[in-house]
Amino acid sequence: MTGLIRRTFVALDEEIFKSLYVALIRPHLEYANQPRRHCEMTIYNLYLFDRDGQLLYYAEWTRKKQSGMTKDEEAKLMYGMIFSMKSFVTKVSPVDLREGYMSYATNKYCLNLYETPSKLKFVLNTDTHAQGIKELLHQLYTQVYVEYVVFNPLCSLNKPIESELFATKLDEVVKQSPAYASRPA
Amino acid sequence: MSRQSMRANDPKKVSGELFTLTYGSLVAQLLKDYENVDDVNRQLERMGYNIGMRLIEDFLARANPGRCYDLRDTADKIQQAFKLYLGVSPSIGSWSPGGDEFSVVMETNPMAEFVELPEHCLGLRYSNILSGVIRGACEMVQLEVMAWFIADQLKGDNMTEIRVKFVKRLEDAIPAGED
Amino acid sequence: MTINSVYILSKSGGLIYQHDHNIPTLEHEKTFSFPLEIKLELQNRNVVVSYGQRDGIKVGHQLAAINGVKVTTAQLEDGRDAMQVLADEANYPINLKFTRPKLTTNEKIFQASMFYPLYALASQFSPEPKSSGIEVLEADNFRMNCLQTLTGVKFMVISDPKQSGIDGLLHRIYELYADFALKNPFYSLEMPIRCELFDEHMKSALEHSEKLGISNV
Repeated sequence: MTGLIRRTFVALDEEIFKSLYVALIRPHLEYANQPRRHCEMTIYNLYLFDRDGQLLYYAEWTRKKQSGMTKDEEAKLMYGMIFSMKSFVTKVSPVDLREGYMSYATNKYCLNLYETPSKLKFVLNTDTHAQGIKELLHQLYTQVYVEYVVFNPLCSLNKPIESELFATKLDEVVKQSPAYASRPA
Repeated sequence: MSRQSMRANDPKKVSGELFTLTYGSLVAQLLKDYENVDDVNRQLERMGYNIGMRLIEDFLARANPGRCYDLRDTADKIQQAFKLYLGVSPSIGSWSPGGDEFSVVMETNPMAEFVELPEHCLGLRYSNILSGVIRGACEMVQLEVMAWFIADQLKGDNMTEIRVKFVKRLEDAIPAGED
Repeated sequence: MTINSVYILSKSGGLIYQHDHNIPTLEHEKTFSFPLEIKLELQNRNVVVSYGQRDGIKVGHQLAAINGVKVTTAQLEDGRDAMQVLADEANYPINLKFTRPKLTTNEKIFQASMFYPLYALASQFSPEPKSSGIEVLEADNFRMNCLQTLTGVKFMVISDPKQSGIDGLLHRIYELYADFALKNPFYSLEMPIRCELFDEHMKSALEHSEKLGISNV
């Protein structure tokens, strides 16, 4: 929410809105502080789908609630959901969309979807305050997926990833990210 | 991460000559194994296709170019990729009037530097792997294209020319059970 | 600052109110010579650009007119088939007009009913217990805020991602709904809202929000 305000007000003429700014920032800060007290910052889990909707990789860190389905069912349903969501977003959008990144937030968590032009889909669930997730997902793509799967001739591109090196590296990058680290001890 | 930074600082870790020699012996071995020029051409194309499918990810990751909505964009990106991976700057030209076909023209072909085609395999498209790479890479970004050689310095032409033709856009995969 | 549109969904997921406040019109005209430099294809009986973006004409845009004659569902107003006209070299040079397709009422109803399961799934996939459904959906150039009331009615506002004060606006719309729809004795629940007073107040609330970047609540 604070990021939102910052973005908004960068776009506005600060002179004119100066007085308004003072009036606005308080209620927003209060609003933003409310959920912050209840939930800690964290990265929950990651799904990686290939262009055909197959789950290539799944990892979880601090997931507290399971969906109550098998991983297989959950993956299918998740892919179905992001597929419908993409179609919904393209249809409802008032302007032409650049493709690639979208996210939604509920009161508890935030789902981030990053799609590469080759239609790989990274789905990362974080808490609602995590910042810089788009950059993190891009980093996972360029520094983990490309390096350890694409350049590994033994890794087939359209089968679930079994490489341990990939798993270790992925875990490392996620744990180093500020969104993960900002979790209060 | 260490590998990433190493690559950025030193793009030419492997000697170019080692690469051309490796490729040369690969083609020569294929010729021995298949004894048929057409089969070799096909194998090279298929190998290129598999390389393209992987290489595109690296290209996207490094150059972060965004999606193409026009064949001119695509041609641009192919030009860029040739520069990135082969160290040559091909020119793009000979557009068809419908704008769905173009040529990638290389003044020199780094892959064929030391090559002289022997008499008995004049039908060999020595660098056919490149057309496969283009096809594989484009397919991964939802573009079905055809790519083939129309001129080759090895056959006495004064440049190397690959023709690329747009076939169709491929659609997103829909989840199983939905139609 | 722009607010694009407002959707209200009833408890059972039906679209009961929709208002387009500020939808940019994107139209591009260009004269082409044979053969056509862009790829067109039929999608849902409309002629749509599938590849070959140029001069503002984007992939996904729809063919709206040929030489000034309107095209609907791949047919010209005079009954000719658009694809056939385009295929005939004798018709060139040809002037084509493309627009970004707008949602028809039916499509809006369809999209609204599609949001309903998305909302529910989002809650099911939550890694934390007791999550709500989607509250904010953000793509790179628009944002949708959704407010679900305790009674299950959903209010959705689509706006520019920089627009602020949407939460206030959503509550304002909720109030309007309570005032001008529910308190109207001739309005029956779950039915589309057709009340002039509601319309008027909605419009002024939207304009107000746009102007200030925040609503007056």
